[in-house]
Amino acid sequence: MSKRLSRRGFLKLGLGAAAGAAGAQLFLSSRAGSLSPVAQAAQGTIIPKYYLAGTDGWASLPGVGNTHFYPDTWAPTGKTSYMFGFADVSAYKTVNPPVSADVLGFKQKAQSCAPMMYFDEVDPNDPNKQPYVVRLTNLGLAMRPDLVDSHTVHWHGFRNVIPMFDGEPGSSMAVPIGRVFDYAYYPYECGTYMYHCHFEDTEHVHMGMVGPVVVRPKQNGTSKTYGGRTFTKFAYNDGDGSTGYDREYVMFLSEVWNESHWDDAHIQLPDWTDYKADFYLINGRVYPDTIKENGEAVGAPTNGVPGDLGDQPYSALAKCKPGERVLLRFVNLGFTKASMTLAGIRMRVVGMDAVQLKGKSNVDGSYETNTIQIGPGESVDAIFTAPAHSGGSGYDSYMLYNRNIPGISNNGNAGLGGQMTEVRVYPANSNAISATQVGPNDLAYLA
Amino acid sequence: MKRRLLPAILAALAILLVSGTQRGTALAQALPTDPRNGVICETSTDGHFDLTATIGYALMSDGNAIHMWGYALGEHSDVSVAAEHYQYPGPILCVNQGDTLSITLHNLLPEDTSLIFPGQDNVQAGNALSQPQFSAGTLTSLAPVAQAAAIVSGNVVSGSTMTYSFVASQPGTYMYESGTNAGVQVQMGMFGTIIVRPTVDANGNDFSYHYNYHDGNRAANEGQVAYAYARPDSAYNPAHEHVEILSEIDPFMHQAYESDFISWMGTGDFTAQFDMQNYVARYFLINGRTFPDTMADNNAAWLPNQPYSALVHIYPYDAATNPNPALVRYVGAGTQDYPFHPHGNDSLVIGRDGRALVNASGADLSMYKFSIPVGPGQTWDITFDWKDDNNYSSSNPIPVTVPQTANLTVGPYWSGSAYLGSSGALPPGGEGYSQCGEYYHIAHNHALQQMTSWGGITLSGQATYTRIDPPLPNNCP
Ligand SMILES: [Cu+2]
Ligand SMILES: [Cu+2]
Repeated sequence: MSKRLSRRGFLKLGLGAAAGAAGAQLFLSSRAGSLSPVAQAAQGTIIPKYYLAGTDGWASLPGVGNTHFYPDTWAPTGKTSYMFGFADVSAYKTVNPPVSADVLGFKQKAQSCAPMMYFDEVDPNDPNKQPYVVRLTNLGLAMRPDLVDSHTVHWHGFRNVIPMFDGEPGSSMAVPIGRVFDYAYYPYECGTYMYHCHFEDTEHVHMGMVGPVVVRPKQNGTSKTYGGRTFTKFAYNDGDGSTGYDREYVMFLSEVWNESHWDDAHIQLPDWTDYKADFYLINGRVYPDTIKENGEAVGAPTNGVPGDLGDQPYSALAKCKPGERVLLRFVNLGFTKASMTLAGIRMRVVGMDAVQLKGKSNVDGSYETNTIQIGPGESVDAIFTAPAHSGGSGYDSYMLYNRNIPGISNNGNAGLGGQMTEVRVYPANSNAISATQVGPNDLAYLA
Repeated sequence: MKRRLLPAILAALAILLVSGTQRGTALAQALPTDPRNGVICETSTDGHFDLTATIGYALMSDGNAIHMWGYALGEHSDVSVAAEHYQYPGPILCVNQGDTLSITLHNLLPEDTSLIFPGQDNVQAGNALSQPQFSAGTLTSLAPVAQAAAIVSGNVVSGSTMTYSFVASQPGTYMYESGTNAGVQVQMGMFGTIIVRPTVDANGNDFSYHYNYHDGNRAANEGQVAYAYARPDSAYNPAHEHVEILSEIDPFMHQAYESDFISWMGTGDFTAQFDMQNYVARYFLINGRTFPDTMADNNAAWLPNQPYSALVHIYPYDAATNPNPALVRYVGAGTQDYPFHPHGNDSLVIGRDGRALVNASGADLSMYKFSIPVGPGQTWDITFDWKDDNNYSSSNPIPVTVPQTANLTVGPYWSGSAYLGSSGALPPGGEGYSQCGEYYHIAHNHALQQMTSWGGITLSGQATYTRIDPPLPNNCP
């Protein structure tokens, strides 16, 4: 005969797992003095590496508009779509108190996608190892003063994490409006990850609280020669230079379903099981904005109004020279699988989910492909060697796009858009791009 | 807004939803009682099982009762009894490598039905090779059928039976499912899991399954070892073996079939009204349950026809005292990839579709992943363990200052302490489900719209938690 719990017993204990009656009730009754302001640890001050502010904002997703949900008629000029997101307030990470007037100024300045974060792998046996801290505050939602949603940072894929630093609010805590929380990480495993808010995560993830995280391997800085070329930057601690590269670009995939974004601005709620993306983004932009430079202010127009890319700072252009090895770090935090095709250049997939493709017995599992299938919550590291230049002084273009065809339309309209960008191969002697990359994604501050 | 489907057929059949204690058949049980969490294996001394195809009901956490088709273990001729014994998903059948597994299928449904066994060789049906069935050149079924039941004087009378059998030649995780009108019948719930346990490998090494189970004594069940495949590197802790079957439901489809069934009982004429072109899944389930029922124990009384818990309940990895991981067998029973994401640690994928992940010479190709994209008809065998890489404790504290509780939004599974086995302050009046300072890590489908259910109810779909208790001995109940 089977052991059975009564529904009543279960409900008495709440939702669950902890359904072993007596113990739980004892435990509940033992909680006194709940408000005592006890700091659980204080070991001097660790300056955060990044400081993020959860808030709302607006993005420009250019398309042919005037459906009920798009473009949002409440959007500021040049914007189309209501977003939640993280603003980068790292410039104020040493200011005390942390939620200064400057930081408060980022309310309704959510960035799409969230700030790219780069860390260096930590050696677990280093006696002087220091944790990285990511600070989070919550500025509230300017459009929705009725909502008091908290936020978190969930580093998706971080191994052997304790609940306190996992950012899943059911199992630990979240950050209410006006408060601050420091997440501490010792990244012992290199690779390509992602992060997102996990508070009411269907909504907060889809609304845009998503970004990439990279952990650079310990092997970086050493020289390894592979295929006749010497590298000092690697995707993994490969031991043989096989994941060495000259330049790297994050290709961060996400989606926008107009109805849910409009609903959040207009105090409505969607039925998420109706989900169907209208826009597919790379690095927080849709084509052709993806091929505009980092920080470019003006994007493609919607209904004749130029786009405002002020809160979408990341280009998705990959630039290189013949013979260079280029690492593409694909991350998908949309809700549908993408098929990222690089037409005309084969890629070698060397890693997946922040793990180099070699089994426990060191069997090489890397493979060549021109199409990378990547599902929600997955990451893929792929390296290609830039082909010879065709001649002249201009660049050669190779399209990188989602072969899941709805993913390369903006709002379902004719013409190309969505998850599409270019790989540009410049002549070897060109001065149009720097001889060595200033930093990942051509962003000096990530170097 | 809550939309509710009326389980009209319940009244028509006078089915009692509280009959759980009657579950169980003459078949031999692997364990004297079912464990609170983890796999419930149905076993049989001679490898033979009877399954009755029947209607039944499944309860969603929003309160809807869904008309289902599927299987009741054992032979039943009375549809109301069969519906009481109905379970969603179908019974998990466990056999040893080399056993002949046979199933006699009885049919109380208004359509012909059959069983197919993807991944098995030389399946016999009615003492001949199981073959697709044709009528006048038209494919009618993927396998020989048990014919539909009939209505005689207002009563449902069983149709014919069909017996299927095969030698379970390779260890691993497999499905059985309907091969007749499969687009509809599988979706209505006609699928289940087969576990084939390894025995002896080609060199005579013994990997056979021995699990000494003590009811109600978690600690006594620890420290044992079993194998998913006939390989030493597939070792796992048999006290933490789990099956997580991922599926989905379109309530309109099921409601239409319920009304068709009622008409059939009245007229003897069964006509399906639902156009599958209109199919849209609205519920997303693990082991036939939606969150938070996924976390409830096996055989939870309020889910009489959804017996399988989806809570993975473990202790931290320790090289000396707890070296073997949990085994989780993911089964894709829906229509799409479910990118499943267990928090806390990567999963080590050791097998897929009933084969260990090895190359042609047997070298290990297992891989750590943080997303397990379980596709339709796939099975993924993963091992999972967790440890605190930094050994945080009150004497080795976390390196940041934590704000006082009043400045945080505290979750229901939070113990009040950062440290495993400790508890601390929670907000006044706050509910805490933590019992002994255990940790919880969520495990969920990362196509996050599938973590919701019909009508916009968030966190009510394909989600569950992994519970990590402090190392033994502990004070956990
Ligand atoms: Cu959030
Ligand atoms: Cu995630």
